Amino acid sequence: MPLFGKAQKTPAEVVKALRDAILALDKGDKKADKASEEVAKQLKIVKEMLIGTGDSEPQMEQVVAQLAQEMYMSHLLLLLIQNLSKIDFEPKKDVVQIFNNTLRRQIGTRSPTVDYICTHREILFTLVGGYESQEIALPCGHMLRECARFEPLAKIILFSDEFYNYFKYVEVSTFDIASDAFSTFKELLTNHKIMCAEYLELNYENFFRAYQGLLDSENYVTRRQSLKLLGELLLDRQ
Amino acid sequence: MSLLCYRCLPCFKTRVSVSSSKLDETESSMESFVKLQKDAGTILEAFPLLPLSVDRMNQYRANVADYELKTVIGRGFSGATTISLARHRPSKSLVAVRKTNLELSAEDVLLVQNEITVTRQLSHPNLLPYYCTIVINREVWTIAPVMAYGSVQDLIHAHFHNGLHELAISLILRDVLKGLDYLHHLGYVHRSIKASHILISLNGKACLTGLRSSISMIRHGVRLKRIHDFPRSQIETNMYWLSSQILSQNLEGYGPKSDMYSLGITACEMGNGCVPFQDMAPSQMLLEKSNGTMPRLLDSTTVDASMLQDKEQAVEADSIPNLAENDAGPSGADKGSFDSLSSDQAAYKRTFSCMFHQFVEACLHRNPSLRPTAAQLFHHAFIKQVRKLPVGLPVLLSPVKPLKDADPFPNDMSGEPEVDAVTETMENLEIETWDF
Repeated sequence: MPLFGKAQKTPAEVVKALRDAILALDKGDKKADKASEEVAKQLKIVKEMLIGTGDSEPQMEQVVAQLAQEMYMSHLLLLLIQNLSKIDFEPKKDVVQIFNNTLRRQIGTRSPTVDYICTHREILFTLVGGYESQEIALPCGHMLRECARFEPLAKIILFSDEFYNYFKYVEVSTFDIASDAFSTFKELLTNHKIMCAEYLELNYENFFRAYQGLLDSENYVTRRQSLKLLGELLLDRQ
Repeated sequence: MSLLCYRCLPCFKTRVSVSSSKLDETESSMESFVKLQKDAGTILEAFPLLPLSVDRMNQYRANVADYELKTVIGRGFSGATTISLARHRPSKSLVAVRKTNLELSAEDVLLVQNEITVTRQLSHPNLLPYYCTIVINREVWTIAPVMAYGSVQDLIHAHFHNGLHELAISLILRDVLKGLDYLHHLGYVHRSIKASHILISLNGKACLTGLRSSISMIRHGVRLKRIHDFPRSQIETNMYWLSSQILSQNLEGYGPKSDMYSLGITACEMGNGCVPFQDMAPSQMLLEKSNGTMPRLLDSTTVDASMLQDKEQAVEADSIPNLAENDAGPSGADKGSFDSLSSDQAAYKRTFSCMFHQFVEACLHRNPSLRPTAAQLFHHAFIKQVRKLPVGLPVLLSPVKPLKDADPFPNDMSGEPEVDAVTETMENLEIETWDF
């Protein structure tokens, strides 16, 4: 117990408060304003527990484990991502940090969050869909690139139909979103070489027919980036 | 700290209320509408050239036809970037369009990309926002608000060859500190704070820009204690401002405190009109920095008459680093000429306040852990002194005229007197290095 200030809330309480606040975001006018303030506040608490602030250290491993457990149980990650566009500008970045931090948790050689997402694939597809909307494209892209570091998650995205949406996203006229989408696209195709080779072999026709479109794109940035990526895919001796 | 609370920033609120596309509902409630207007007013203070409009961020679309280019007002990024004044056709407001030719090395394209993605994810009144970014042929266009006074470096070149007024510096640094504290809070290190990256709006609000070299201390959801990345690509232009922690590239690494060092150098740059160490070869500059040589403000307390005489003879110029810079000063006009020397002498008889000297010393402390943070410096006496200042920054910059209107700059310049007057203003401004 700290000497000064309020006693800290338990992870279960924080997660519940955050969940309630997110669900209240859909209510009309005044209640929604209050709810978005509450969401921001709770997100900050969760972030500080996981990452600490500039000055303070993150919480003990035990508390973090409990917090993660609560998040899985209440499907908080999916809820956060589904409601990302309703969350205010600054707290959106907290969501990204919370997600990325939770994702890298390890118990021995096991990554519990990765396992969790494997059984809740809609998280990944909601993230991919994030590129459709301007205000959440960059945060979603950030989270997706973190996911792409883990082979099981990259595999789910790569072998899905949603993956073909990328051919559309990388060509939008807004430079920041298009180039962010391309970074994600590239990481999905290059991070795990053996898995990607397998993918390309199985989907040769479809993939390269779509890829041809990028090489012929009107957009200089797309054309240049896709040509470079093609070079990397072809010349990599593995 | 309440002054530095980010969650209640006007920009951010306006933007949020827009992005949730509940504009009509919001406006229907009178109370919140008044609040919204007030918020918008605060933004207007920052970017006064734009008309009052709640839908600020979404108003600028990625459509080339919306922007009518007027005249080039600056260049940057080794010539790859030009900044033009433009009129946004739907709203008739003025914007700055920054065009970057993307036929650069892959590394440089990544820098441009980094700058744009980072800037798009920030929202603070003292950081220059990008309304939108468009790819057109081989260029990327970035739409930003017009900053009527250009950069602080422009101001130094245009008029204040021996440095700005102390109160002006204090006002500028106060704004920069707010922006910097926000950046550091989010875990970014700017890595290229300098006078050319500080832009001044018509109302005298300073905005930090140039996030091309910035880096995040947060990797994979973990906040790192220190980072070791070396900002290689822009190093030739930035190194005089960088701390020895970044330049020495050892295992100790660096953190946000190295930005505070750059801020100290920038304070000297603004006070003296020239950048410390700039006359030195890079290796010598690095040696001086790692030996703990602390640059100083040049005034009656640090420069005495005998030193100035020495300088006149130009014999020992090299042994007095802070003085010698004037020879290598940015404006070639007064290079080495006797007239300028005597004007320099007069300039260095001024006396900066003791608070300003302390401020610079604190920023440039050799040990990074003993340098204050941006939030702490915000409460420094040097910054506090301008809290109740009756005059604004524009008054202190008075002989320099801001860039007010694009109307006199149609593509075909006619010889009307008004046009000449503004053209003259433009020439005085010499905004040749809007180095974003």
